[in-house]
Amino acid sequence: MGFFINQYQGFSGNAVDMAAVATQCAQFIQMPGDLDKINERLVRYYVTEGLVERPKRIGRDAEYGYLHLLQFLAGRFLVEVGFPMQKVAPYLSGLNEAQLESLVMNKTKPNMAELLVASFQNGGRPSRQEDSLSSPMPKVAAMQRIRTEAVDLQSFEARMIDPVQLSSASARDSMDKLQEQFSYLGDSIKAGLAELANASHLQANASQESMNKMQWELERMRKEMTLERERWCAQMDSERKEQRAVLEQQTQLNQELIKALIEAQSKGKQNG
Amino acid sequence: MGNGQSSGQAGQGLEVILDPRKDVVTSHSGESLDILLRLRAPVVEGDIKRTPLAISLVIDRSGSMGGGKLEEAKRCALDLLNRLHDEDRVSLVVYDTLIDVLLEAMPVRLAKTLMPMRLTEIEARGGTDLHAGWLKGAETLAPTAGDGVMSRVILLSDGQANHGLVEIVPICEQVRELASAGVTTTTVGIGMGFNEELMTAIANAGQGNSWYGQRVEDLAESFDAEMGFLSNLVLQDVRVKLETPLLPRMGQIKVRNDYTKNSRGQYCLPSIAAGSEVWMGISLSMSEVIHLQEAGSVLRCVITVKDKMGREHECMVSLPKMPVVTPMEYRMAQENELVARRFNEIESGDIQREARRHVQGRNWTAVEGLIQELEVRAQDNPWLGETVKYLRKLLERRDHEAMEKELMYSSSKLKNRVADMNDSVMYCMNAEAIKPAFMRKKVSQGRNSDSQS
Repeated sequence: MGFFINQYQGFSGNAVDMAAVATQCAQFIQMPGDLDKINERLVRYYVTEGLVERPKRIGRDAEYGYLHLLQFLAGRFLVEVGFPMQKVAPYLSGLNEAQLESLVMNKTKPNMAELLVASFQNGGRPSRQEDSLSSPMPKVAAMQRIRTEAVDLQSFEARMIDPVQLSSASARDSMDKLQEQFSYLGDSIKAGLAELANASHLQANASQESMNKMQWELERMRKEMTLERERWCAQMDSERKEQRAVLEQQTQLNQELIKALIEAQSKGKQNG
Repeated sequence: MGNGQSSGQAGQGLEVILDPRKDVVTSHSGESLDILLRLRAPVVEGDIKRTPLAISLVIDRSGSMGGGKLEEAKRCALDLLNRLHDEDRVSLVVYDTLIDVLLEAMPVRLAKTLMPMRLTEIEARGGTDLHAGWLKGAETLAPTAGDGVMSRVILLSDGQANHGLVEIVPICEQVRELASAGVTTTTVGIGMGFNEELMTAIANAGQGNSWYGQRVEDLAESFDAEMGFLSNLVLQDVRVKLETPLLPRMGQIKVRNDYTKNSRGQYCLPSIAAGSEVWMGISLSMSEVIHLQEAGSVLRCVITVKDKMGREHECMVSLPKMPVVTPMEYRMAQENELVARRFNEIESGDIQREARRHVQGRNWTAVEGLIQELEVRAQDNPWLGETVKYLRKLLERRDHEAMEKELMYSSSKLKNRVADMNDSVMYCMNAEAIKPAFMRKKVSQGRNSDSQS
């Protein structure tokens, strides 16, 4: 089984590739949970939650590697066996490749105390979902990139040579260079904007997911409260019924006692 | 058994008793309905097997531990080791600003050879990273934490946490979470320089005990009390869930002790040692109880405990329907002495905490007023009376350091103590001295039993 996971040591790919490989691995090592739920959205969600480290960025693409794959599988396993995600993330961040491999292959889950100790040692407040929502990091990075390009453009303008002094040949060369640089700058700005849009999209997804979670939690609480109320009502009914039955029995006993007394009295009179 | 009393049995020898202050209720009295839930573990003849223990001794080796404290701590550590069974486990962690694991968790029979050697290596130096020391101790116990083992970190400190995480709230949050996962914490303070607020809060969150010794010679009794408690453990993970239509947020029901509540809404009570009882004071809104009791039971306490084998047992006890009487009849009704005494002690504990706040602000006039109030409350309670006399002595000496510590530990004892099963209003220190140290009602919490008068 170890060979199976080791064959992916050279793995490199985007979120879709990683989801596909992770599904294959999860199926092979018989990981608990629904395999259909493993998809690129779940991969990105685990990154947002801090279970999987942020992937490398190559232009617009995210590149995941073998460590990411192991983190994803280990995280999936621990969440599926019931550990809270906020505690799993800092626990995983303290494990190296060999430890992750062992966790995934042997499915040796830690106990809750071990998980908590590791999470406290690795920072204590692990939920990166809130961080990603509150911190403008991706947006800032993209904005900085656009700003850098704008500064480059200004410096380029400052360096521009007066066109009157140029001969026609050199002017053509300069114009070509200028065009090339403008086109490069245009591409960079476009890439920056795309990154910004992507970051906003990710942030919107995360917000949506947290909203869904809250809605689900509220629904669960409502159901629990309804059940609790029903339980109390049922209990009250049963207690009332019991009381009624006791009262009826008591009345019946009283009547029988009275009857017996009357009979005894009449017998006494007859005897007298 | 009074009219209002309920009782039950759960698992191996747990006795559950629910007593109201009076057996009757009345409307428009403005009083609350005070009830006392007691969970008792009687001594079973011939039953000598106790819960296996895993203990991590976490010893402060900061510079202030010099001057005999560290040597006494080493002696206490060896004494504790000798009182453990061979199959128990023990680890040894020392901390200043650096943390060293001198002994990983191992069976006591091995530790008996290694620990004396390791202890000789310890020297007083550096600052106090109390949190990191505690966490390392917990780490050594974490792998074996769980069913059938009582894992306990015993954290010893004489100073203020001044390195790493130092805030009370985040430290206690971690301690609370680990206690829920099976690693509990007891704290032992020594001297006058430690942070009693932090140490008692940690012990409370860690479902353990908080002890303190004013002088070097008082330290041994703290360890003796803890070890006596752990050696007699019969039931652990004691949880109480209060099922009631009364609303805590509206003040209709209030638990008067300091017990923490877990994520499942259960109160976490201390573990129960043989021959002792743990208890819970609950105040209910009397008018709401009268209104609701027509429709059925107003309060049901669901108690879960784990026995020595780690098996869980559940028991329930309900507050029975109580007769409604006129205010005059209510005043004339007889009070349950034990319930009234415990609630008086709880309220005295609250007053002591308020007094401590004024001592911190050096508002001696306010402290004087509160001590007078305590004296009035202590009239029918000799133990409380002796305690207040000692506090008055400290007040007259304006000894704020000793007073802050005494008020903190005394109030904690009054509100959450593990009580003797035959807890009586009579008080005599000679009689207390023959009881196990963890059940003793002491006048001065920081002094050993020989120095109480």
